[in-house]
Amino acid sequence: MFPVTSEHRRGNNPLTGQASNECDPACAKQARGDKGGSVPDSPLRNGAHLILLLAALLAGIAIFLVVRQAVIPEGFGLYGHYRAGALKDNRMKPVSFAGREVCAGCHFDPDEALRAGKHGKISCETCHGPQSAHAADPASGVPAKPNAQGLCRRCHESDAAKPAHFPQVASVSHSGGAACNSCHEPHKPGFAKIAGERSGKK
Amino acid sequence: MKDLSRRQLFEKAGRFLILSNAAAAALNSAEPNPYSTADHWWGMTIDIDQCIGCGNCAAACQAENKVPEEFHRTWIERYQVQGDDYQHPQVESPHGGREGFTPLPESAAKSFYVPKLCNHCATSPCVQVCPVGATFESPDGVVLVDESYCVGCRYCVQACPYGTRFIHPEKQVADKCTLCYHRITQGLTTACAEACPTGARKLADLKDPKDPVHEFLRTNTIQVLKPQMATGSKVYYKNLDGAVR
Amino acid sequence: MLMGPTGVEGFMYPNEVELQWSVLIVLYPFITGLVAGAFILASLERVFKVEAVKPTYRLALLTALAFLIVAPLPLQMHLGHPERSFEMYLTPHRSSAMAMFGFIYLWYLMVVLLVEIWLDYRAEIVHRSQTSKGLLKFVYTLLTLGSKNVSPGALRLDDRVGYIVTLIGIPSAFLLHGYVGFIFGSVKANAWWSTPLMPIVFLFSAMVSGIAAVMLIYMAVSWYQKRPIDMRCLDTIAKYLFYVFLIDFSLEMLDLVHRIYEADESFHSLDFMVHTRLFFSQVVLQIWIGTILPLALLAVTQVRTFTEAVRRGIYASAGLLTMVGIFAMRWNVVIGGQLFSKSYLGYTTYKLEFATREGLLPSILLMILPFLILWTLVKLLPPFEERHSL
Ligand code: HEC
Ligand code: HEC
Ligand code: HEC
Ligand code: HEC
Repeated sequence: MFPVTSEHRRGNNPLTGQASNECDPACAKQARGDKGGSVPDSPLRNGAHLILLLAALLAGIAIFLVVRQAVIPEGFGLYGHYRAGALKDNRMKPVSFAGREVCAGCHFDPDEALRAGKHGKISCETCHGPQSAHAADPASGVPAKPNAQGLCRRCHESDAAKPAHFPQVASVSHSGGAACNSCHEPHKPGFAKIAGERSGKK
Repeated sequence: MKDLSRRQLFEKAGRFLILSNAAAAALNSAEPNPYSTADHWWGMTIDIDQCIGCGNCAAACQAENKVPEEFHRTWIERYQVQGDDYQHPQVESPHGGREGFTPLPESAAKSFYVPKLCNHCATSPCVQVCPVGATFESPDGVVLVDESYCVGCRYCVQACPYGTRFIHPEKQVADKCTLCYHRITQGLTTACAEACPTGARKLADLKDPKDPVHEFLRTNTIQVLKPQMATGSKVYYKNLDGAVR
Repeated sequence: MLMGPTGVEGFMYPNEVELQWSVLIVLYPFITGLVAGAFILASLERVFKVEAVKPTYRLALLTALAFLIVAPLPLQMHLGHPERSFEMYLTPHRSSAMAMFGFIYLWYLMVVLLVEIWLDYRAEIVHRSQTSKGLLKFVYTLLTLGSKNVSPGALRLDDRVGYIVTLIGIPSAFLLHGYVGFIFGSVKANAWWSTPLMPIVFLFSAMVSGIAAVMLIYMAVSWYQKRPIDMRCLDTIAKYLFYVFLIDFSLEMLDLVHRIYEADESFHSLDFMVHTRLFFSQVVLQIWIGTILPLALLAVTQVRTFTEAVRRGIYASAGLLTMVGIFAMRWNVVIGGQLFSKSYLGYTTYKLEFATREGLLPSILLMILPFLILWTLVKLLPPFEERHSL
């Protein structure tokens, strides 16, 4: 069937020292001796160890399949190739930013002031930081007042990369170091305080 | 508080608490609140003309999602393009823009800000390569990581063309933008969109016929990042410059 | 452009600064390459009947086994959660190039290599199970798998089955390493990796490194055991090394020329890298010292005749240089592919640490381990005839 002959495989080169040269007859004799008789040269008998090997291999695969079924995580593959529970895990993360609506539920005035002015679209927590803990339980602590100076400049300091339509000031020349909220109301930056207090700029 | 008596306040507080407790209870039950993944297909729109580079989005993302200091789920890049040399823009993103940028003086260069985040690709290369199914696309179109299942092989990090993934230094698993999945499934917007003062970044539900995203896509010049990668990106940029990588 | 304190030049996306795949992942394709190459050398004798390389047949198989056992270790050590790696077998993701590696590995180890070695050594194992004593006797008895049948009929059957296994083994070896190339070549996000040539280049470089490794090990073992070297065998191996290396080199040059000529958006970045950060490992080590020099040495032996001693010297130095070249190639693929930003606007540096989990020390240990295993295997299953002992 195959072009392999014992001549090709065995005993040609003394260096390979194939077993057939020397030990084969001995081994074979011993093996026969062990069995205490002659071993018929039947293919079935001669292939027994191969069948055993195959059986072991198949058994290994079978065990793997059974174990796999048992330890595969629950719900895996329900929606796709992933653990269905991972969706819920991702949903269960805590929320830090409560959202403007929530703040407005208690703090009417800042909300109204904000809506009336140019800062109307800005969410409270953009300036006040994440406050869900405070919103859930105000008694747990009072949020620190934001540092107006740094806050305002971060958004309003002149910067060539900012869109031209966005109101920007060079704080040094605009206020000369004075606190921004001494003239501007953070919640309503365009009105109130400014009127009359400053003659002009630019 | 001048505007509100304490009593009033605590009445409101009580109402809020009840509301939030109800929401939490609904989440905890086996059958979560009315949210159905079949009704949504999430994405985001970014209007380059509105971005002022304040970095509040990057900072908010870090606060909301406990993002480690040296890595970023979202960040802002500042581009400077000299004349016609759009092949070699100068780009910077100090701390991912979390602390804002130092002002750039007027110059001959064209300059602008570009917020970046996971593109929640519809045919995502990171999901494709994950050997175990620890990163996946949710039925509502968000690419998520299963932290309890990720082996930390980093193949997904290599496969993402946008550099939006990283290995969480403590958890040793892949970490990335979840589009604030914990928020958007409760009717909130993402932390970055919440913190954006100008509306430059907005959460978009492409399955909701009333979402302004449809008008946005129809009436503007829209581009996605690295369209040649054909990843089905769902983060749509308005007026994105050709120099952006 | 300025060099930042972290070794970053130009602009990297903020998450890119730190490299994802370390020197351990360099070892992985290097080691699997040796496995595939050694096996293909062994099959030369068995399937293609290149009689001359017969003395190295068994040695090549044992070398392949020793390295195959170590191959998954660097991967395992690199994982963020090694304890979860079994998930690759539990829920392999069919679209992931990496997921299939586990299965190809198991197939190759359990169905190809172990079976072939077992069949080839069975007669001796049985013999030794009867003649040796103590623990060794137990080990050999275990290895017989309970069958003592070494009748000529059984051995003939073993031989045929072994032949079939080798026949299956060749495409499996191709798969094993071509596949490793595919893991890199299929990452479209990475211009340095993404090329359909990658699996082929990996395959041929694997053969090169495997053949060179077996050649060196054969010389070393012969020298150590004071056994005469079969020069006909060595000459033949060197000839094959030369030709396979030529193909490998042509493929790599094809890739290079193609990149230079096409000069797509990534070219500027890659070109810059090859001229700066990768200059030493790519141009000097990989191309000049690790490829052109050994190729020239081997070429000389093909056209001129030398004495045996000179030939041995040339083969040994060519073999060593080849190993350096192939290692450099793996390094340049894995590490090089991560030194530039996917924005093509900047570059980072790889900081190789020493005694950390992914440092130099574990890598050195991992490279010593296969030789220890091979040493044990050679003791347990001598690849050469041993007239004196036993
Ligand atoms: C543009 C940034 C900004 C926004 C947006 C903003 N605030 Fe403020 N807020 C400030 C600053 C700055 C102060 C501190 C003023 C000071 O120090 O006098 C402040 C003070 C306050 C105070 C303290 C009392 C007071 O009125 O001075 C409350 C309460 C408050 N904010 C609530 C809100 C709520 C609720 C919202 C959302 C509806 C909101 N803020 C939105 C910047 C902002
Ligand atoms: C998070 C970013 C942000 C912060 C912080 C911020 N602003 Fe603004 N500001 C805006 C935006 C957005 C507008 C509206 C711009 C528009 O209408 O185009 C605005 C508008 C204004 C305007 C009105 C400009 C006009 O054209 O009428 C003033 C004045 C102003 N801000 C002052 C301040 C001051 C003072 C502070 C600090 C207390 C501050 N801002 C903090 C974002 C910010
Ligand atoms: C001394 C009072 C004063 C101080 C302090 C002050 N401003 Fe103003 N600011 C004004 C007045 C008055 C205007 C309106 C005049 C105008 O529009 O030219 C104005 C206008 C602005 C505008 C609108 C500019 C435009 O182009 O529409 C911005 C933005 C602004 N201020 C930001 C700031 C910031 C940020 C600070 C703190 C660094 C600050 N201001 C401090 C008085 C002040
Ligand atoms: C349940 C009602 C409630 C909600 C919701 C709420 N707060 Fe408050 N907040 C309070 C009360 C009550 C105080 C005063 C606490 C005190 O003085 O002890 C306060 C104080 C503050 C202060 C400090 C005022 C000062 O005088 O310094 C800020 C700032 C503030 N809240 C911001 C917010 C923001 C931002 C939100 C939205 C995330 C929010 N609050 C939501 C009830 C609420």
